[in-house]
Amino acid sequence: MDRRTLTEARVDHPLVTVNCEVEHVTRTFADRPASEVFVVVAAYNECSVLAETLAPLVASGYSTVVVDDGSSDDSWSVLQNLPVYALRHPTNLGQGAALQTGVEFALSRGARYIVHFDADGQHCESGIPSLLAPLWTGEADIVFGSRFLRREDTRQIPWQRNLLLRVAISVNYLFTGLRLTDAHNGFRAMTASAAGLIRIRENRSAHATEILTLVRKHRLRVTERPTTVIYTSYSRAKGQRGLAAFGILFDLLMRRFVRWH
Amino acid sequence: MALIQIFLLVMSFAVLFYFSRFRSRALDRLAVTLISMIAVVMILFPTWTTHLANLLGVGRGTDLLVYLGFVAAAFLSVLFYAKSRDTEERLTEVARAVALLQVRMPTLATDTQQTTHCPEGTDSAVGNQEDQRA
Repeated sequence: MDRRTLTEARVDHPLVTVNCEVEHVTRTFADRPASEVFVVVAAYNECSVLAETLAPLVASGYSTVVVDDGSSDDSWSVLQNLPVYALRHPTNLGQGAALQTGVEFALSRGARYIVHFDADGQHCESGIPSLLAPLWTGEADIVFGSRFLRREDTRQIPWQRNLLLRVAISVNYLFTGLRLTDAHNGFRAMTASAAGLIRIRENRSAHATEILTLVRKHRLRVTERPTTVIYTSYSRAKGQRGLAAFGILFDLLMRRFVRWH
Repeated sequence: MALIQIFLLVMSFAVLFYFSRFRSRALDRLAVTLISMIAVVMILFPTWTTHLANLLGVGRGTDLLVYLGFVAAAFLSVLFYAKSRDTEERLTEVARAVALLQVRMPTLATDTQQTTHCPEGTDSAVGNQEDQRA
């Protein structure tokens, strides 16, 4: 059982105002230690928010794997001082590639569950147990977080992003046949065996759709759980632009119709 | 439908089909050689070009050259895209191997001085972003 004190905290930082429920809890899941859960974080030039994003993960006892995707800032030095597994790509490859590297490493360390988690503070660590729950009840092999399952989560999304996402969701359905309510939500949890089957080959943003394709291909059982995504001025400044979305479509079409091996 | 249209359609489908199914290094080289040879012949023997053009229903040899040029350009574009993606995948494998060789294990928090300089907010947000997400 968890011993917990639930506090609603506003963590104030000049850039990031996080409105997550902060649970001070030693996490156990059905008597299994949290260290069996490997949280994989792909980071590119996030040094200003990296420490804060990782702190709750470390505090909850998850095994945290951070892949520095060839950052040009001080991310790597920041990682030296944190109790996390730190890996570094010698050159920038993309979020998909970084996640794949992190997952391969986690599996080699005997991970039982894998969680994908964003480096920029958009995800709340407190949402991880609800993503893991369907995995250890055996209901699903992979769980996707969704911003569109709860009104309060959906309301957080800036309207331009919302619109683009709706289009992306339809495109995803076209390409993969999977009826999911959210596209491109980086918050995912899966069992180690599911992670082994999902070998990401799309290095950049198309990896999100590729994951869905692989889920379908391997007939993994999927479910979604509501998650909150925190949009701060920092994370709003980044994010998919229309052109990037076109790039994803292009990559997906090319992979579908052109062989390069 | 003029013969040339049929011809070009067939060629376009052939290109598409080639890249989605039958591609091989040997055929790539054959295709590039063929394209080069045809280009040389057409330049050296313009009368043949005109003759062939008329056969296909095209007025001038130059026009035929342009049409064939487009097909060749499409082929070469996709060819180089494919080569580039292949190289990228191989590069990823190498980079991943390097990363996995040099894993930094978690250390307990020590009182090492924080000498890093993380710029506030907008600098890293607006910087050299190659990786973006929703």
